[in-house]
Amino acid sequence: MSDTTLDQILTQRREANKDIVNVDEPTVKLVIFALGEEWFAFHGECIREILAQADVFFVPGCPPSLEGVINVRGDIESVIRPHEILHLPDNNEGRASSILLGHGGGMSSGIRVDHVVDVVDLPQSVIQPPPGTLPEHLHALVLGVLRFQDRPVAVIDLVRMFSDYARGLG
Amino acid sequence: MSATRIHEVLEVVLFSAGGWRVGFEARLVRGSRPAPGIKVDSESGKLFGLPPNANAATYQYLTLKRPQQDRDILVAGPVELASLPVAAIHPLPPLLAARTALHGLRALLQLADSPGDQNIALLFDADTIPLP
Repeated sequence: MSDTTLDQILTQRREANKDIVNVDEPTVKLVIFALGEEWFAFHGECIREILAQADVFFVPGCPPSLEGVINVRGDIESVIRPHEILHLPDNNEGRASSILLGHGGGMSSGIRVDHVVDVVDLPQSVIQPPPGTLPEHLHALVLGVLRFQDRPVAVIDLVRMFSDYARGLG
Repeated sequence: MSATRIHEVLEVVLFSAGGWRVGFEARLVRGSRPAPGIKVDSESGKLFGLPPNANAATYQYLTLKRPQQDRDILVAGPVELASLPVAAIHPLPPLLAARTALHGLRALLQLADSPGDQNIALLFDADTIPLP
């Protein structure tokens, strides 16, 4: 029979707990999405909603990258296709896709993505600075990169993307 | 008080251009009259940056109030006067406002032709569209 008493065990546990250091680090919420074969992310605070289905009304006189407008509970929002501004082929017409409702820099718009991969809280430290090998057109748009499910993900600056788009890029 | 009252409406004159329902604020329109004998109009859509009016059933002249002199423009019918609730009038989304090529587009109108069937119409500024 063991000589160990309950008091000893509880004391031991209390001592052990004292050694636990709080290693929580700041986390960041990311909305990770796919455009073709590439994965990107926006910071969660920039995305108000994810719409799986919405009727898009075509508006004439807009560039092809501006798909139209949607009615979100009485508010009209534009829907842009970010492929061109990210220099990606846009060949997903007609397939199931989602619209991210983004806001930032005093602007808001829907953003058409091929599909939403995940919405996750990750430690801030997983986001690395953009590598020097990043294509030039992404230098100003990418806040950082990370690996998620063994794939590279570029975190996009939504405010910069909106302002570039408004200036006629994409 | 600046709060919007729910009963407020905007009177608009609606017509067609380039296959789209288009409108002006009614206060900027003096009136309209038929344009008999006109079968094809290739010009008026250009006022807004829209395609030409093709195969419209009827055409009418709209007389716009202008500071110097009233001006007529040819539009495709039907021309109607509508009172739209404020909730049906939407400012242009900022990215659309930045990228539209339409001349003088000011707002989007939601026209509910029937329950569940909502159409978008284009509200232009009659004061600023470039007249020939």
